[in-house]
Amino acid sequence: MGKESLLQMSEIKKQFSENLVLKGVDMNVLSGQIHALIGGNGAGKSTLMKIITGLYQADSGQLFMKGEPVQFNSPGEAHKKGVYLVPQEPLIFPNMTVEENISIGLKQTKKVLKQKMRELNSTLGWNLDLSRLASSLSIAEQQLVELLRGLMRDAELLILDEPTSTLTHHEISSLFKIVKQLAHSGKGIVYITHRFSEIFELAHHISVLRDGVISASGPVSHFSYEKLIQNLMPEGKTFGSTMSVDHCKQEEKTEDKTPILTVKTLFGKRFRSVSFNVLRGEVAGIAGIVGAGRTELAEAIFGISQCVSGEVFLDGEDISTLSVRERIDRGLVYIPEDRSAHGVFSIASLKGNLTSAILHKGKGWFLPFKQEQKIAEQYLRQLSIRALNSCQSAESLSGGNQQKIVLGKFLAADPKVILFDEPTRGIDASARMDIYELISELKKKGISIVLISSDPEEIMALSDHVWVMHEGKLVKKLENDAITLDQITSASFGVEEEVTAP
Amino acid sequence: MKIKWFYRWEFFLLLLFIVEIAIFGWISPGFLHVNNLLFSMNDFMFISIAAIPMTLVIISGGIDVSIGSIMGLCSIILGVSWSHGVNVWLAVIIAIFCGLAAGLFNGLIILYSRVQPLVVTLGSMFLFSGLALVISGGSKASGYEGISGFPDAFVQLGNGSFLGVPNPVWFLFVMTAAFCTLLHFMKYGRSVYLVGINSKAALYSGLRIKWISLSTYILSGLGGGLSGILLTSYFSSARADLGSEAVLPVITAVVLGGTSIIGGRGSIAGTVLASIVIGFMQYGLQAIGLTSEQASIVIGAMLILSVMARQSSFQKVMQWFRQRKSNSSDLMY
Repeated sequence: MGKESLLQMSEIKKQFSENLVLKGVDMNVLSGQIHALIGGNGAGKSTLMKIITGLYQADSGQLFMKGEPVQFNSPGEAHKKGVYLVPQEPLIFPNMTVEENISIGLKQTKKVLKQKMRELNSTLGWNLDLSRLASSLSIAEQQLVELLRGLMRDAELLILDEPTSTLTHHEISSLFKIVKQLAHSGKGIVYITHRFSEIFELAHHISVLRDGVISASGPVSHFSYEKLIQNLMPEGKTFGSTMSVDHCKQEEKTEDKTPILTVKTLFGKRFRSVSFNVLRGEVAGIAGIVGAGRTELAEAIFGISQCVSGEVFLDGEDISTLSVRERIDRGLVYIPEDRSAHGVFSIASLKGNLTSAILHKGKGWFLPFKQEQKIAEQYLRQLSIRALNSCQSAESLSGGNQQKIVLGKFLAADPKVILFDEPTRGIDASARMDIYELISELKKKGISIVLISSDPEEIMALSDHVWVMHEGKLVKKLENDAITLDQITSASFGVEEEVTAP
Repeated sequence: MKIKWFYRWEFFLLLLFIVEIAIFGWISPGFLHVNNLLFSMNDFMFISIAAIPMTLVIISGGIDVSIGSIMGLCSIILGVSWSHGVNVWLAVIIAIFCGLAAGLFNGLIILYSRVQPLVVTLGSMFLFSGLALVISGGSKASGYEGISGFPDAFVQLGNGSFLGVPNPVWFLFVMTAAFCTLLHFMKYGRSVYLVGINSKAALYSGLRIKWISLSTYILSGLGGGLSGILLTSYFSSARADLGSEAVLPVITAVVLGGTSIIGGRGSIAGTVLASIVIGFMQYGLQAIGLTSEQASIVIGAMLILSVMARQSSFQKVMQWFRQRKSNSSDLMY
């Protein structure tokens, strides 16, 4: 195995507006090394990878390629220096052949390229038919195409971003073989993953990224599951000590024990056998990492997407077959994760936005202009939305205020249960506090909230109890004192299952 | 905020209309006669009447290029029904239903095939016009002569006048009033805008997005049907190829009227004004001696220029707003 340094990062910093994402990252990838990079959501993994591949430029710090200082201003420059990123979802042109997909953007003649492709194919022992249409490839094969793309560009450092997230078990093991083979031939590999088992099977070296710094780094033999978890958790955080929003949580137990929302053995595309109850005036957290199936579950409960089987009851009534509108009318609303794509009507007025979910309510076919103005003013005030007037367009507001507009639109529908998906994603600190306060106010009013969040601190601070979702299943229910960062993090990464399994 | 109406696109169109009339009046004084102006509108009323419901389709994020073929199909159905002994007014009702059905067909195919509206309606454009030709051939009315000899009462529909105003212009008034109410004052209209701005968000807000987009195509079919009936009456002849060249003027009127081709923005008043501006331009240019080919060059250039003007004036408005906002936020903090 080569011991030559391939890519070295030194003191990489990156800031977005006021948000310091990378606070000085040092990392060294050797040739022939499989270097696993792990980190929670928002730790800065993707930002770091975008800097390495030339999509972003670092604010300060230096990259060295084989000891020589380099700067990449575009992915093309990174390719020339031998750095290639295989994205999580392969980017394939479906109507082109494998050969065309691989040779796109390369300048040599077709003949030379084909020769090279054949050679690579045979030295690696892959039997990928170059004349096949890309649309007929499985996702694993598409990844091979992406790898070949990188190798054709003489890449020496390949970055694999969660390559196994969409693969079957069999495909994973063949991918592992390929990755090991590539490392053996001297390529450096940065392997990003959420799955601990893969790390211990594959990696030579581990780096843990936490809050924009490498919190631990070393050969894989120096790590255990417990140590990884330890390093993943936010520094110095223990339950209840540093949380500024702790007051939001109500100590007194709700008296009413009848569930308002009941989900019974719900099966869908990305989740399996999900059952849970939510009581009146309760905040139920659903924790987990991105891709665990939480949004898919919420959308199925709300009726946006169909589920394979199972039932949803709201206040004792079976709502499994109702339309979205009927569910809203009965008091179930879903505040979507992707605010701009699913929540906001960008060029519509604020009042148009705020009344969009209750447009069909009320008598008559005509727009109740006066009432609309009243509702708009009420929610602008109640949610302290910073706006000039109710006629300005929603796109003119900041992210936090847009989120409040979406929240207001669904509050206007007078809900009993709110499915709140990533309520504070991409909004600033003050708007975040406003949202937290709102959640506790709603709770006092007896409204139940299902809080979906990738931020374990947010979940801990606000929830009465927590379900942790991992790969489409609710793997753990945490209550009272059991709601700890440790428990949430380890269950989110599916560690417990893997450790107890022989 | 008082200054805001001045920046509205409809105001610019009104200005354009006045300037246009003034220039033509200056070149050929006979042009300015009120009756001349009013009755020359008959020539392009069918464009305006089809463009009004088309505005809804485009605001909701769709498009219907089969509108011209729907005109021809409704015209020939009217003619064939009448020539087979059906009462002419009953035939008119049949033609209206035919327009609605054509729109429903478009809407259903678009909803359930999930193919882009442009592609679907391009297909149905050929389908409807082919159907019209087959029907007209089957009734031994050759494509270009058409079916004529309609009763006087029906011919008066497109040629007569009431209180000195030609009937087609009355139709325009009624259509404008009805669709203005529908789009700007009714819940339905609001939902059309919301679907056009962000159909996903509309879905998550519980709007019936399928019904809304389907209904806009039905309305567009209705517009094509009414337009076809009016043309049949105006020429007192039912032909399969009536309206075959209407589709581009109709969409041009909608887009020049300020409707965003990607949906979410637009108004009925804008569409009506724009269709009148284009109609008078065509008429006026020919009145001062240009051939229709030469007139097309002028109209094309005018279109491009005014859409460019709209883009830049829009940016100015936004700039002005931003300044206002920063000024007021300076005061706040």
